[in-house]
Amino acid sequence: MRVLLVEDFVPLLNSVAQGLREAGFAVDTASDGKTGLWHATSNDYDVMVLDLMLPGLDGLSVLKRLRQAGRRYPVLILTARDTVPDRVIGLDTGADDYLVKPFAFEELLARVRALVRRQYNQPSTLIHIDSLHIDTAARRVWLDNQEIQLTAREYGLLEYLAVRSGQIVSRTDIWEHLYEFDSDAMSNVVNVYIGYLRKKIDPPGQPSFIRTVRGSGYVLEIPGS
Amino acid sequence: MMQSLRTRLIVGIATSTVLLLVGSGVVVYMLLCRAMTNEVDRSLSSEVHLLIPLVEYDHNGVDLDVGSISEKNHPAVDNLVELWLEDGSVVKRSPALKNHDMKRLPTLSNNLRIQDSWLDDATPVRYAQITFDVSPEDPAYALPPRRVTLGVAHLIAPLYRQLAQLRIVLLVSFTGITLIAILIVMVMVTYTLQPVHRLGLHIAQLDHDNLKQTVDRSNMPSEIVPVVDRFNELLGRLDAAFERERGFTGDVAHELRTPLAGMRSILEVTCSRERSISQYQQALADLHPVLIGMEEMVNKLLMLTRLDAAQILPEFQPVALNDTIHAVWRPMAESSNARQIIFRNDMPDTLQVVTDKNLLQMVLSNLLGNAVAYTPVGGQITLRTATNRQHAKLTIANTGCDLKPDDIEHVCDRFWRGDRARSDTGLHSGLGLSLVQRAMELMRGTFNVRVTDEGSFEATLCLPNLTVQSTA
Repeated sequence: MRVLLVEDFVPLLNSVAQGLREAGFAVDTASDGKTGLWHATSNDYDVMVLDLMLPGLDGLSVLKRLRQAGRRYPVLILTARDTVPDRVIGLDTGADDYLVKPFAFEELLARVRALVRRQYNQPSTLIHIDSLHIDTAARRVWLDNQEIQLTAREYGLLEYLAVRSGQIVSRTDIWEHLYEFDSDAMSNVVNVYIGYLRKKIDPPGQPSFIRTVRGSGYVLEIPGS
Repeated sequence: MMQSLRTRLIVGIATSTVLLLVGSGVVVYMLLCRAMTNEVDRSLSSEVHLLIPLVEYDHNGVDLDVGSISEKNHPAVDNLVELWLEDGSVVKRSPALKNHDMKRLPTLSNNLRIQDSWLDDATPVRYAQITFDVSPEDPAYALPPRRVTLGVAHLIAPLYRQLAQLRIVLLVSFTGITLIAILIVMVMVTYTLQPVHRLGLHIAQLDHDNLKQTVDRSNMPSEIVPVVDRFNELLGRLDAAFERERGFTGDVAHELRTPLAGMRSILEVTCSRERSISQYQQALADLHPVLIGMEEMVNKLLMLTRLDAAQILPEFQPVALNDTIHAVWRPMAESSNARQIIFRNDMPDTLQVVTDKNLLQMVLSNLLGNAVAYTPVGGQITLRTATNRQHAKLTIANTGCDLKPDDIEHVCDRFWRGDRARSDTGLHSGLGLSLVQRAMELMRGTFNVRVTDEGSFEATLCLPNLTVQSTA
């Protein structure tokens, strides 16, 4: 999943971005409001983590313009202002969640995951597709009772396909949700990782969980359905 | 209870009214009493003078025609008359006396004396007595004059009854008037004090979060309008002070929370998994400037608080200005040189001012520190002075200022930062210029900032009324 992080305090920006990446998210960052708005309206993120006190353009203005531009993905406000009026204004402007600084990083991570689940209508952290079981909170995968070891990128790809299981997911979609803005990955990397994933999760001698739809993309579904 | 203005006014006015009414009543009563008594006395006096010629003296002795008294009697007065010879024997007694005697005054006088008295049966009377000599009317009677005493009295019980009735009437009427007056006073005082009462109610409901509700002066009496105006001004200042305090508290919380969030995040992410030594070292290196920034902010906050509370009292002494600048600049020179900033100091070496050395060092440290931080690579920082008899002026200018004209009025606000400084949240606290301003006030100087047309930021210190010496 891809997250946009907009925060002007560089030590905080860098540490949160590092933590989110290590948790498997693709993270784009911006340290001022205008750059943040440009990123936010140019790409389709799964979650945006937005500070309010930003140089150039303040966070609430960024949020307002984001919603006016028709972007509906979840936004989590990160700020030092904790009064009820501040929270109300933030939520009424269009934010989906509010976290006061300083915060526990684990809590931020859990809230981001919750917003991602909401974005894809996943009520639970557990996804079951036939014999394939995915725990999105623990980032673990089982085929029947056998745990499968995936790399961070493989897991990210599987999770994205799983939350959109039954839907055709284009390569562009996959790229936009798994790779950062300044990623230097090659254009066929999606194909390559689909191949890696199939090798690890497909039951031997059985149809693949991941079906290729020629000219459109991929679908994660019950094999043979 | 007497603390209430309304009660004081009512009690005061009512007491005055009661005293006035009672006093008036007493005076009226006494005047009436006197008048009625005088009337009786006049009647007695005229009776006496009417009776004196009626005393007859012949060879039969002294006599008084009581019948003629009855004819002359005032229909409202009982006719009490008695005539004594000098030896105290009674010559004549009026029928109304029956068997009673009047009390002859022991001291006989040719002057008419009138006073209260009693009959021997204790009946109160108003008694007039005069002693005179009678001579025979007929000169043929060669008799020596006889000294006689005439006493005339009127019963005064009716008078006393009238006076008693008068007292009752006066008491009842004045009591009624007093009660009505008190009622009127209460109503009028309550009505008159309504504006004060409204003012009191308004003040009572004021709280720290509704100080913007000023008192409506439109229906206030002219005497209270100045009070209301001053009160509204005070409310405005109080509201502004609370706003500043709220804002300051909120700003402090915000400014401290962000670096704390950074520190916490660095630590928690670093400790979330096993890392290499270099990664731990990097995390610690990332923490250090954040801590330094927080320390600086706390120190500046503490300094501001002490300056505001006048806990720091300036000690004025001669200070070599250029030496101070060199001492302050020395630790900044390295970072300035690394960014190829040109530092130009036009100050003469001999310039001295009389001021507080420590405060001046703090001021210069903040201004030069800001100049180094916000001058772009390859830019320039310039110091220049101007002196006259009244003051010494020092201007520190740096190129590359991107503040907007509207920003200038805010640069000395606590925690205010321009957008560029906001990118250094946690490293630049936004307190430096507030400190400079406050310190300059303590040093009896002024501090001004401006942005030139060429885009330079100029901070000017002016130290007035101090001895400016050239030690050349």
